[in-house]
Amino acid sequence: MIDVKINKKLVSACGEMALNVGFSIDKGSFTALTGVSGSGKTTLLRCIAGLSDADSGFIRCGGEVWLDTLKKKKLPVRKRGIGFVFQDYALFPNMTLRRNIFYACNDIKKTDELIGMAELDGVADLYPEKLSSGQKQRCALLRAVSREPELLLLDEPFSALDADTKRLFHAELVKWRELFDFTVMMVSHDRAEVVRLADRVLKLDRGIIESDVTHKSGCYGRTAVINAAARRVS
Amino acid sequence: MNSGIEWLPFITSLKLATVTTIILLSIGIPVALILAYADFRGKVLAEIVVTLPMFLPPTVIGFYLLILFSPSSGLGKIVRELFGVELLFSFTGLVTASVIHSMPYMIQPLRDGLVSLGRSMLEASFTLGKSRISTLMHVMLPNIKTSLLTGVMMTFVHVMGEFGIVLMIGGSVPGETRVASIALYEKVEMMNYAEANIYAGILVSVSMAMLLIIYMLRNSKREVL
Repeated sequence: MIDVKINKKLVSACGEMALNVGFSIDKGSFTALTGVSGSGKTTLLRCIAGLSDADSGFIRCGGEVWLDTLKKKKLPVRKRGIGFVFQDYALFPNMTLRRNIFYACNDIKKTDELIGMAELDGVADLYPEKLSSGQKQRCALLRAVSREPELLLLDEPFSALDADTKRLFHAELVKWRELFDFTVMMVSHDRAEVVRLADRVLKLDRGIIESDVTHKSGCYGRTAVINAAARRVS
Repeated sequence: MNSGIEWLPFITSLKLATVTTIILLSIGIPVALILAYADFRGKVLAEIVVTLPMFLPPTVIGFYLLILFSPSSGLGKIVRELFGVELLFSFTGLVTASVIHSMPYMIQPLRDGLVSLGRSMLEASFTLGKSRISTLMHVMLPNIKTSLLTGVMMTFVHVMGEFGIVLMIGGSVPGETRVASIALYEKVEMMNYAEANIYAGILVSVSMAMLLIIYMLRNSKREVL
């Protein structure tokens, strides 16, 4: 179980607003964060990762407290068991695809196994500048999951990809999830992607949770069944 | 013709440039990281202070340092009482002054390199469980190699050509503060143009070589040595 309570003042295009959210997510679940631009999705994700500071809040992952502003406790980003896929992928330009992944997991055997599973052997020794968008995205995902994180945070990871490539990567994400059994939180604007992948959807509007919809069996390859309560909300 | 050439001023200049560059490199990296990525009150003021020596005449900096380094008051007195070291007319004082005067030549390229690299590299490394030191050594510095080398070269060349400040606080103590530019000035004062020409030629050659390296690095496509 991951408990999140975040309060943070934000300045968006529409002026000042407060990100004020509180929710819990189950271990192993896939939660999508949706909402219009400037609603606070990425900030929420960054606060959970520890990349942005909340004005006040509390985050607990399993039995470990990551943030407790009342007790002035903040676990450094590097000590949180997270994987983070950035919108711009943030691959290290001085490292080849293989080195990017090895830097994350410090295990050359595992690095080669993962590259083989992702069928990226042919481009493993190329630098990021020589990779296509799709290959960069897969490298970023592989790098994040190679540490076997408890929580994988994805900030619109598929936004730069075309529809066919997206579907391919959705399948890949599901594959890694089955293999490493991590919890996922993903920011996305793509409704089809959300339905395909997530079993819970939190919709943010001006910093607050406007709706919290649970899919009965949100999983790639199966039709997501929205439960009755969620149907009433929608 | 070369019999009158003294090499000691060049050795002093090289020593001064090397020591100053090493000190500024170790100070410059953390300062540039703070200026590039940290948000704090007074950041603009900090940036102005770091850049100011670039826009001030060396004699102005030299004048203030002369007062500050004076053994009867300020920093000079403290350093003398604590360490027994004189800052005026000494190599230590010259290094201190050069560090202050050449600060922007090291920090500006480093800061610009880090800004253009972007914060996401830093953040990505942290999310991969890496420490600050590991991130600095494996991600940040290798990706700003050109900026790093530009900073090192510019600082080195700038210190090699230091004159105004040396004249104000260093004087011309052989083997201590008599650097190449001061030796050149003295040769001109003595109207010994032949030797002055050689001194000047050597300084021009060193600066040209350094600048050539900087431009070659800037023109290389990848940030790789």
